[in-house]
Amino acid sequence: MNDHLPDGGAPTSPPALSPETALSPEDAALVRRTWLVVPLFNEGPVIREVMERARETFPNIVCVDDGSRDGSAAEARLAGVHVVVHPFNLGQGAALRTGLDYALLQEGADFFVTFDADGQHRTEDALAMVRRLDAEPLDLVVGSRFLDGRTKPGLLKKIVLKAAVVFQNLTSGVKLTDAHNGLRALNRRAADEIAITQNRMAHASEIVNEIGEKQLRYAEEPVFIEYTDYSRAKGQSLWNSVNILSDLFFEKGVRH
Amino acid sequence: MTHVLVIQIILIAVIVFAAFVIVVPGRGARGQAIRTIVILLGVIAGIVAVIFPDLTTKVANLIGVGRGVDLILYGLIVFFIGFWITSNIHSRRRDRQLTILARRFAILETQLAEARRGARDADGGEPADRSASDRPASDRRADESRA
Repeated sequence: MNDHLPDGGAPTSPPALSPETALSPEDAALVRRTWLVVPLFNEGPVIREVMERARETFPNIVCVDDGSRDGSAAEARLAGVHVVVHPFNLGQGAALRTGLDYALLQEGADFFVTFDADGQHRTEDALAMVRRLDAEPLDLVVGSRFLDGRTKPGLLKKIVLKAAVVFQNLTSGVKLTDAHNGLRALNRRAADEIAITQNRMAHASEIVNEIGEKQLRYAEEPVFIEYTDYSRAKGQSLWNSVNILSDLFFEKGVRH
Repeated sequence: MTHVLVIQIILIAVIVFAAFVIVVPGRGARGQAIRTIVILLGVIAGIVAVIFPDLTTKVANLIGVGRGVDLILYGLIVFFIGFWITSNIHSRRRDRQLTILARRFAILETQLAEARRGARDADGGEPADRSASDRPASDRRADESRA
């Protein structure tokens, strides 16, 4: 039935290798209730492979193409995931919100995982986070690179990330060890309530503030970030921390 | 010394006043009226300054500024700062509205494509080949640029 490639992006059946067979029945039931939300911007060289690997665990994936110019959306469709295309570049925060909105509209969607398109997140970690959402009274589970020693960021990156954590703890009252981790698992309440008005990179800080403001029940899960040469080359420049602070500052001005 | 103090007090007062005019009026009828009045006053002041060139210097001396051009420069700076702040706030507000619009559009577009495919599958006919025509224009562009 689905030998043609979807134009809207939606797969109607899992790929031939039937990934769910590798999962326990409990996990298989869990991933069917889960949607992966993947902001996508100019990841053409890797997105198909990353999505094909992710689909081995998660059957429901929506990629939000944020005005890529390298055919990323077409590549993602080849992997058989749902693709929503922004008419022009709106920023990663907007892409996340679009993906969550789209996934919230899907039948039977109970859990939502924000997942990076460049292959630095692992589906094992995502699955572990969803299991916790299902088993514990939590609204969201946030990944952290610093709960164990597996991830090895550079020294300068480590310092900046730590500084962001201290600033974040002070301003939001939410105690997280890794404020800018893109791997998060949300239940319906969290996915529905977290507002993301920051289009640019400051959305990560905004999400943490929202956790505090909406009094969401949160926990951290140790995750492993694979800093490949590809992700390192694309990675956020440290200069961006200046932009993030300026965005957050101006946000206050707009709101009041 | 006292002259310097006077101009400082006036400048600070003007800046504070400008801030109020900018922030408080909003979009309502009152805000629009205040903006119109401020613009009219500016135009009148400009015309008067052109007709009586010495007047600006006299006013400047009165409040402790050396020359009329300095006074006008101060006014210009205050105006410019106010303008910059308001246009910044306005453009960010518009950006946010545009974002909401674009996000809704993107989701609707995808749902439309899905509904169309669903209808085609329900027809039972051989699904049409993935023709370029029912895919978003942005994708077609992306494909073309790759080809």
